[in-house]
Amino acid sequence: MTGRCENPHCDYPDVQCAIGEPDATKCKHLSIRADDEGNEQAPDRTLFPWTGRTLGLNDLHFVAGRKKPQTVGVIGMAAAGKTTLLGALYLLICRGEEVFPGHVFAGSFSLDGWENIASFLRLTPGQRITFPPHTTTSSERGPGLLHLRMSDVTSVYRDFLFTDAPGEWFSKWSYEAEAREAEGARWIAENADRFALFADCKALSGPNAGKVRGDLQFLIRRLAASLGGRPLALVWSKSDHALDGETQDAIRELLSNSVASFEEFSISVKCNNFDEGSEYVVDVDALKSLFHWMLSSSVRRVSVAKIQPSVWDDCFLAYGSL
Amino acid sequence: MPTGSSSILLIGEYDVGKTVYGAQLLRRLLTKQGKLRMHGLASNLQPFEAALHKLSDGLLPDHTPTATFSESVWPVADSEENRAELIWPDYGGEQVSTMLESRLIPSEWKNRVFSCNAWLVMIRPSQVFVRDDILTKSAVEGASAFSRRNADFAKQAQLVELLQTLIFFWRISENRHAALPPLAIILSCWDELSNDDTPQDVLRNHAPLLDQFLAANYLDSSLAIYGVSSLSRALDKKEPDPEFSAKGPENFGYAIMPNGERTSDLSAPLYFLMDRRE
Repeated sequence: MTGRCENPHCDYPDVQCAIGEPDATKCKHLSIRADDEGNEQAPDRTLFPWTGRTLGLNDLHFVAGRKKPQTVGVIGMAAAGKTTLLGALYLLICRGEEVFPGHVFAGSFSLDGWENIASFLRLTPGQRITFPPHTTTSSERGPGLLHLRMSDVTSVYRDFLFTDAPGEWFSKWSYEAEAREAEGARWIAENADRFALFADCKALSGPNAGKVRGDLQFLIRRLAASLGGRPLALVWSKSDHALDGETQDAIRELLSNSVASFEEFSISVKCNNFDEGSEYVVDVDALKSLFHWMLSSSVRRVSVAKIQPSVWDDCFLAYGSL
Repeated sequence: MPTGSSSILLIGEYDVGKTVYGAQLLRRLLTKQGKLRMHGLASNLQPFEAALHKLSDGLLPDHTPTATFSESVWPVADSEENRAELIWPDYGGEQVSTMLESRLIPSEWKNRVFSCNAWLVMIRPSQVFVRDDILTKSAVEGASAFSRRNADFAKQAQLVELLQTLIFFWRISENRHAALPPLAIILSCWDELSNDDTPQDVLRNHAPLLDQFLAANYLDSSLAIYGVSSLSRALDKKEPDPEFSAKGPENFGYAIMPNGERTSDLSAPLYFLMDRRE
């Protein structure tokens, strides 16, 4: 069966019909194209409703049908290690490590997306391990979203989405909030439930340290303006690169003056302190601490208007019930 | 004890040993060597015919041709006349792989998923394992540290995708509010593993992602993991094993129960599913 959907929020024929029509040929939005013989073919196969790849904004209705997922905004400049961190999260889950105490892996609708990242970080015959390639800048309105479902011992599911976005979006956004190229960064800033902000120790101690530091400061100010009390973590990535105390203090001070509170984590996924007796060559505990924070509950505080004492005698009119 | 009728769907990808397991199980069902026996005539035993002959000669059966895909339905019963149908939809195993690659589920598969009330999934542990990565090896280590070649590294993710797809299509069927169908996992070619672990431990070591997925989505009472060695030993396709041929295939093969105990009854996983069905 071939055809094209007129619904801009539907990705048929890559996935099932977005409005849930079991037989997509009967969907009112589908324009059927006859096959080469001029016959319409009866659908004898059903598409999976998800592609397995990194999710887009059109896929959110599918993931969010059960309950609103917790979105973790992973923010930082290009090559700061954002995608590598997400790959490390998946690798640990694949090894059966407990990345979120009391919870186990319960599924994912973007397994191909996770595997695509992780494939760069796995040992392959004849090849050295490489870091995932740079996440390319695209004209997408929103970031790629990696889905993860966790379950506790009582089989209560919790869904998570991790943003995988190119650093250039945040560079644009930090200097020009309304830049057309920053639409994806704005989506993350508006919709994420918590944020992991990357500070690249290698870049901050490299030859362009001054520019990198300036860019990060602009990004901190931009993010702080839209944070609205949502949890924030400052992630010192590539922490195997020594960073002078003054630079660190300056960034901490700016952040302290800009947001109510934040957590700090130092991570590195490069072999620098290989302990022969250890199962891992990197500090997995540090990674796990960050993942635990990312997966912790983000309950947004809402204010409820206080009930004012009523002068009416009628309980129903005053309180809505007896 | 089980009552009523079960319909058990057997699912397994290419080269997990379905045809050999089928041939050895068939021989036992026909000779009533275990708790189950054949009750009536199977719909189509042609794909197993060649395998039965090869095993009698002490040879490993050839791979089932891709073109062989007609369904085989085996009516089985226990000593108390509780009955079930074991459905072999895809001897070669390519249909399952094709479904995952094309992300299309054929209508006949969807109907099977809807109609069967128990699933039997075969996995070959020697094809599934966690590969070393940047967390366990330094970035500069290369091929010299790697010995497990010619294997599918993302296999456990594929298996999770397969199961969550089946679960999804089962849930959108009419039974969506009911509990999931009971599931038995057969870890095949058990003789390829050299350990005394329980099947659960083997699954946890070889496929932790899948192990967690099952724990999160299944109640303990509706899930059981078995080890099965259909032949007890490795056979060759060209060089006959005289001892195997002389003693007879029916005297080879065993199952490892979830608690680690060994039994010669290859139908143990089927019996579990008959006992747990709605």
